[in-house]
Amino acid sequence: MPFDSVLPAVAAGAERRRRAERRLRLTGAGLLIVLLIALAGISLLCGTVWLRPAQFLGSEATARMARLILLDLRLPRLVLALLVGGTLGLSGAVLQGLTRNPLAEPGLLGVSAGASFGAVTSIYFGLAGSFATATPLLGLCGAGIAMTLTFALGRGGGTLALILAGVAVSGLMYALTYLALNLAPNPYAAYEITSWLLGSLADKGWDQVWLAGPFIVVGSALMAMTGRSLDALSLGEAQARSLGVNLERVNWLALAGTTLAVGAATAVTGAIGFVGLIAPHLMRPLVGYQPRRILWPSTLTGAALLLAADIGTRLIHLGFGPELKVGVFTSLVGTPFFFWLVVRLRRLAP
Amino acid sequence: MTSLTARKLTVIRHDRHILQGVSLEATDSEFVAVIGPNGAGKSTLLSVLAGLLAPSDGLVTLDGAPLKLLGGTALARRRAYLPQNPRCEWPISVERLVALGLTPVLPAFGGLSEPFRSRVDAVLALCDLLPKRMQPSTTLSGGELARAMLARAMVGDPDILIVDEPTTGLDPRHALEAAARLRALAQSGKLVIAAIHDLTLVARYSTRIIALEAGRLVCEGPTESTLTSELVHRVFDVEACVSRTPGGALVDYLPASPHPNSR
Repeated sequence: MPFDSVLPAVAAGAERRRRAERRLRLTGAGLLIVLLIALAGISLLCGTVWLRPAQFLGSEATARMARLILLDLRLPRLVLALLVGGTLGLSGAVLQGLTRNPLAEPGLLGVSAGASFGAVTSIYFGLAGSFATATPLLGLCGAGIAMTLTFALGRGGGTLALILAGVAVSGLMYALTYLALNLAPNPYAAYEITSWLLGSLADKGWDQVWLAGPFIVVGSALMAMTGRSLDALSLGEAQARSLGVNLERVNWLALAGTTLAVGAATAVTGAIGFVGLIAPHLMRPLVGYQPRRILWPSTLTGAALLLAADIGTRLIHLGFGPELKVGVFTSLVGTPFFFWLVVRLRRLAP
Repeated sequence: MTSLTARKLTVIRHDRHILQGVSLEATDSEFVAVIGPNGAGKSTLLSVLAGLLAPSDGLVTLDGAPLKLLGGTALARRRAYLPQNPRCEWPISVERLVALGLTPVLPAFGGLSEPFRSRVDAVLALCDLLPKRMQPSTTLSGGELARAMLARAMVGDPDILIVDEPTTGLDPRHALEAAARLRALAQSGKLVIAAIHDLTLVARYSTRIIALEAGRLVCEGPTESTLTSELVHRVFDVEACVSRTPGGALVDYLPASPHPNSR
């Protein structure tokens, strides 16, 4: 084939366009990072007690108080929001690419439900009182069990079987969670279970960051390895396989990655919906819809979304009652987006 | 030199014989057309030859080495495969769709380097897709999408091209073009294996035919001497007329034993 006889004009035109595209991409990435830094700054300063930079330079007592709030309360909360939001965004992008289904999200495979069940078990049996990390640890176990079940059930049947297995396992895990709620030994336990299920970043310390962080990092790394295969999968499974993609391996990477990362995240913060669903949709048109190119932008967007939602819960006080839970906040804000997605799909359908 | 050999291929699915003892050998510069009625096992045969489906029994070898011993990526570098009605699930641009054909030769991370980019440009030019390169592939017409998919298969410069029904759903001009492109690829030294229903296209463009019926190979040989009225009658159960005119061969058919009242 005459590969070397390309018209020079074509190559030059394509090169010009590529350079313009790259500029645009870098600008977009830069804006996202600036946004993240701004949000991070706000997140560190805002809350029940507003910190002002001047306080750190004030008298000994004020400065120590300010440092304490910043380092032991705000900073771990910020780090956790970035880790959890980022991994939710990444996992949403990977799962939507894997299933080629724009409605896929981390909750789809039963991982969130499994983590919820594990954590709720720990609250139910009062283990949370005996040692602090019991809830997240059991949450992780729950996520692992759910993922093993999903994988065992959906194995070898293609993506559709995997989704169906995920739905079935989610159903089972939620049923067990509600059973625990139903049989809760006392109103206080029921209250604790419910408030955990709502999902929150409040009152999280470095313990939780160190517990979930490693799993989130390893899981995200596994998910990030699927990029090239996700691209090939946009041609369908037959063509992807013909291009040398090992479907078993991609499924495994995406599933194990989601379990580790989202399982650990859910185990610490409770279920936080919609971030993983929305983040890839926001970025997709900007990167030309290619699954691999969505991964990092979606990670950053997920982190920014969760951070913004967390700031929102601190700023919006209804004037009564406790602080809004971030899981409730993302659901309230995310549902209209879901409606929009449905309306758009209906318009696109013949 | 490329040689793809299948020995006694048998595929059994749900206790049904999809393929039974099919053997064949194909070498470079051939355009092999696989013909046969619906359900004869054409797609299954192509999947097995492409190494995507393991036969229940039998062996496919590429240059003497069994396919299953070649790794997925190594095999993907040597043969391209297009299923029936290939489509793209995301509205990615034609240029990027074509670049997906380079998946087996690209590293796990990073973008396209310069030689690969010019390869994409060259294939786009070859398939008349340059004006469409930025268009979302989901908005292409059937003929354009078929061209884009063929470009996707050609961009990796494979030795073997296995295509399942490349002309189905195309209008006459695009069908002719598609078949002519496959013929041109064969003439440039590739091995092309395609399942095709349009027998006129088979007669004009293929160099060899393989006829399947109920999973068995009933006939094979050079198109010129093998594709006859008798063969078409036998395989498809229709009265056929194969005429070789200076303008190109023509195959026409009528129902085999017409009901007395239908005339």
